[in-house]
Amino acid sequence: MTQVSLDENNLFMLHPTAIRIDGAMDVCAFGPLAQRYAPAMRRGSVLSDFFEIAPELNESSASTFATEQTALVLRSKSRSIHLVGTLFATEGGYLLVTKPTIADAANPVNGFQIADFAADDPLVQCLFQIVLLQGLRDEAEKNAQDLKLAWEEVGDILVQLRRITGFISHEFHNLLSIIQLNCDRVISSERTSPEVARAVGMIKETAIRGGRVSQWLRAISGDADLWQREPLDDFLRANLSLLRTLGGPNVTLSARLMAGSACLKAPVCDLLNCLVSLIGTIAKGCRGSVHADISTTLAEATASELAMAELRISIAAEQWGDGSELLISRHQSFLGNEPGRSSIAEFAEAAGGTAHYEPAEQTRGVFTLRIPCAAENVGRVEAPQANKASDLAPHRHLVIVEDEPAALEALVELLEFEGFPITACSNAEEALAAISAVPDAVLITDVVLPTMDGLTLALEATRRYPQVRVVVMSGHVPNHEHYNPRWAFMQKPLSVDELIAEIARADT
Amino acid sequence: MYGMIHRAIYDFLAEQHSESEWEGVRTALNVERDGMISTLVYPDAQTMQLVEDAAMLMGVPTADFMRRLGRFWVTFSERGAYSRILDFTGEDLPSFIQNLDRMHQAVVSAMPRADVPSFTLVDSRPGELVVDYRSNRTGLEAFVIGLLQGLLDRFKHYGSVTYESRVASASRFVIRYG
Repeated sequence: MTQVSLDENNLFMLHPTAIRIDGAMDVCAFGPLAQRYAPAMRRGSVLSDFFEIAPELNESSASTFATEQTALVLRSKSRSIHLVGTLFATEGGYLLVTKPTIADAANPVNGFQIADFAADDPLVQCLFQIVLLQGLRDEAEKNAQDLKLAWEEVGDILVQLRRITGFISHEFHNLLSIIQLNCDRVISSERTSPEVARAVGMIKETAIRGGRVSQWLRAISGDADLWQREPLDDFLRANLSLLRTLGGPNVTLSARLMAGSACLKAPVCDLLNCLVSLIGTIAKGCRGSVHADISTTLAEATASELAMAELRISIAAEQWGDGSELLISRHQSFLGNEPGRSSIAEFAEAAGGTAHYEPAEQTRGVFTLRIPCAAENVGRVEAPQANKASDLAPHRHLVIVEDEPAALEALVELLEFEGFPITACSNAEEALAAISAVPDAVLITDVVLPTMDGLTLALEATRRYPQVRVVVMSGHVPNHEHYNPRWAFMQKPLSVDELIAEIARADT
Repeated sequence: MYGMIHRAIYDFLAEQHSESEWEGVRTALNVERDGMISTLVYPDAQTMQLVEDAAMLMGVPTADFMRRLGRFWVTFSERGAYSRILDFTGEDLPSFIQNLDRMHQAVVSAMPRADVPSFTLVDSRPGELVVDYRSNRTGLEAFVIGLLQGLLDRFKHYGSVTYESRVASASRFVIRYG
């Protein structure tokens, strides 16, 4: 073995963090970096005045530590930094070779300056990277918060805009309905000349076209009609590839879609948002492969309950990863306490349904959503067949409830012309009084009425007089807890022929 | 360039204008802070166009705008999530400049498409530092002057930064400070 002899300068160039101590644990000499850790340290100082050392270093333990090369942890008493060190026996004392070490994983550079490290210390590059990544993470969190606030702000405006649009479309629809009914009234009058009838016919056509515009407005308002257009299964089928892409290579996705033509009574884009959130969370929060199975079924409607689509998402993961906890804690405000559960629950609740999560085993679980839906043709009017009142015998008494006097007057006149006995009412209270006198009447009611709405009126009337048949008329298909899908529905603007057909259907 | 510089430009402009002016400037430049993601890479041409447009709007030469932006860049970095990395890079002006390349190495590790410059402390004596700057980009000397002035501010020095010459592949700057 070749022995190399180093003078003190060479020694501290090689080990700038080293401290030479004598047998009494007093400082004899130290490298330039060692002095940074304890700036007041001088030759002859007592080492333990500047560092807390574990295990305790003293005259009796030193030789054992040097022989066994025991790792020592030094905490500077003057700076918030930690060192690790090893003791080597030298002539007349010991050489304590130290190195900075990270004591606080959450804030690794805490207390350190780059000058505390030797020029070639690889820890410096690690610390740079950690600090930079922490900076990026902090910025991403701030961006996420800003984005959330912006979204909430925009969301509030959108809600207001939707309400206003919905209100305008409703009013517009009602006005068009009144115009159309009165056009029918004029056209069917024997006193109307052919020229006038033709001109009024043109007005009626224009009103019908205006009705389509109001339907678009209604759709923009995000209200009921959107859910009617696309069956749930078709929607899920169309978006499976998107969900698969989001899941990435480790997430396999299968689908068993059995809900037929049922359409959700909720904006399907909201459903997609929570599915995206759920699949994304699963992809990030699990280790190994994960399988997600999406299945749908349809529970039939009863007289008292709306039809419900049941959407089940079964998750089977090889292993939940540590990342899931981190992910959830970082995005709690978006996801809630469990991956995807909150947003799914909020969606289901907003749609008037329910959601729950059932863990099957440690790495398996099932999200189940029950969401109100309607079959595709609920609320749609079939083309009338035998649609003249004269074909119906005997004529049922009609109780017509409409708060727009011009609409009520036209409707009454047109149906009286068809031979129906009619009681005209402008509010629910008058209607209930009228039905009490004719309990087997057909109740034809608008939805929006003063004091009591038409759906509550229909519910109350059928509760009191089970023989009453109901025809609901409105600008849009009612998406309301009181709406019973068994009631007939007429979409405004009304066609008198279709209304007569619907009365006939209600009669049977 | 990474979107962080776009964000700095945005904040710099916002600070140069009163609240009532700012809306008009933002509209004129068609910039939104949320649309500038720090970790996304934007084409250099887009960044330079934004710089030129902003300079024109402020009625200053582009080089002057770049110098002011460079000075602001240090303040901008100190404010945000990157303050800790600045603190760690150096506790005085010479050591900070000496360690800039090590910091930039970490930036490249985290953002592999970053095309970072290199700074070499060629000479250091009391009150004067000679710094060589190398970059694959050209025409950013005014920005570097501002950046070095920003570092003087950071370490509470009064002084000046001058561009001296082109030395081999580097641009040489001299910092004189008290």
